Amino acid sequence: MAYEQAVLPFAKFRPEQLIEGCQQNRPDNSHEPFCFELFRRAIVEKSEQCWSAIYQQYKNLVYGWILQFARTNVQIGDASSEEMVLDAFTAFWRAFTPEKLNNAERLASILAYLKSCAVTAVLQARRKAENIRLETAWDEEIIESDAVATQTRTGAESLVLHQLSADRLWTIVDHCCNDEKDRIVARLSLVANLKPRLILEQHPDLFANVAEIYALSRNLKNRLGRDAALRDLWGEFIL
Amino acid sequence: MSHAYTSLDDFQEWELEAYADGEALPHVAVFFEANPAIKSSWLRQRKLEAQLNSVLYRFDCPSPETLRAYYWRELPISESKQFENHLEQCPLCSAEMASLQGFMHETTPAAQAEPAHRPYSQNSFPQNWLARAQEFADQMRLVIANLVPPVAPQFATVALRGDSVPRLQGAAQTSLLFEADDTDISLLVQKEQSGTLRLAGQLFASDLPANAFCKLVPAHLEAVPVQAQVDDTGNFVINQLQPGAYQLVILLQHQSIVVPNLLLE
Repeated sequence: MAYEQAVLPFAKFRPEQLIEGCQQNRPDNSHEPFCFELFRRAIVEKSEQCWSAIYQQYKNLVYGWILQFARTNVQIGDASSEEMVLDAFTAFWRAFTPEKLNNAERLASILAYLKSCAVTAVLQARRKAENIRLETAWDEEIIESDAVATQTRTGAESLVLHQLSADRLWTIVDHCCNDEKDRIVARLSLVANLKPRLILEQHPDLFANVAEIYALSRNLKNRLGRDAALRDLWGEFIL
Repeated sequence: MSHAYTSLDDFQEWELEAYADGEALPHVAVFFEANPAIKSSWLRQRKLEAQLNSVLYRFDCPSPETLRAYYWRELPISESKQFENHLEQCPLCSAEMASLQGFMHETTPAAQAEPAHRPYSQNSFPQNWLARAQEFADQMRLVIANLVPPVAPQFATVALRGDSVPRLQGAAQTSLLFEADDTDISLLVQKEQSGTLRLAGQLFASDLPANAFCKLVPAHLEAVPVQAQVDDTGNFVINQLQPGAYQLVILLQHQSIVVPNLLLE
């Protein structure tokens, strides 16, 4: 640890002194050893007081990172900014072990880790929001197509569908793919939810144009619609 | 001159997408009205795709925590290779990884990823970002709970700890009090017959909102957070807890209270 050579005996300071010293935020960075010691006590000694001080001291900074990374100050899906800040701290609290602290050279090492936790909190919120959006889209499609196909779906059936194993479903989809092109279209459209235009951007050498991707996708879905294994898995009422 | 539409191939794909999104495209509507069987088949395909999407979306993508662990070279070699293989075929994870790396190396705001050479200084946070972050952070209702040092004799073990570690001991039925702005939180842990722990809490506030709930997050990465409803008298109970470190989050209507580090024993 870089601060071990420091003149002041930080280890002997009371938490209140450390908090005060850390809050000074001096241009010459002489406050850093105070903050570092706060982190050490929180992580190694599991001091509640020091954890509270760290949350208090850095919550605005974490918020700033989240704001900057997300490029928005509105909530992502149902995750509010508070939740993302909290998620970032939670991730840090869970992941930053005493061993990692041992390897940390300076305060900035620790804060860099906290910064990466802020990023992953935003990524997590984005993934969750997209999942919710897709589930809603699925419900809307069901409502519309049910009106045409005069099929009905009970709450229990819906639950069964959502409890399906994605791995098992992917095995069936993969089985319906005729070749590598099909497989790429299936993965990028069904798993990554990319539109054909974006799939073409990903693989300009593989596909001639967007129309080819649409055709492959349509044929694949036709095969899936007729697939006995998928019918076994989802039942006639779904397909 | 009007175009004669005989099959779906006669339409541009965007036209069908737009129609599905509710755009008024009379030529598509007229075609579907005249060809109900084609419309039905088209809707079935859309339904199937939506179903598949909802189940398969990123089903095998590593979690953001794995991305972070990879960035910090914390993954074992085998997992790291596996992750790299996934990156090669997943544009979404590749984009996330790139955005993580890019953001960690951005020069603004401060707290850089090259810590030893570029010590963090909040003073170098650009003023406009600092001002914006401050403005929103001021509105942020995230409150950190502070332990109220116990004074009663039965809490002596806690009170005597110079650094106030909130250690709740099931056998002794220890209780601790925290304060967070105008809300006080009392926590009591008891040992259950099965050997697990039961955490009972009560919130004391002048105006306790409805639909409050709390979340207990275990420090152990593989353990799952548990949630409990806070009833209208401010009480909540979480059963069957394993001893260990937890983070308690209480979500009120306009405020989140966090007890950052709670040791249940």
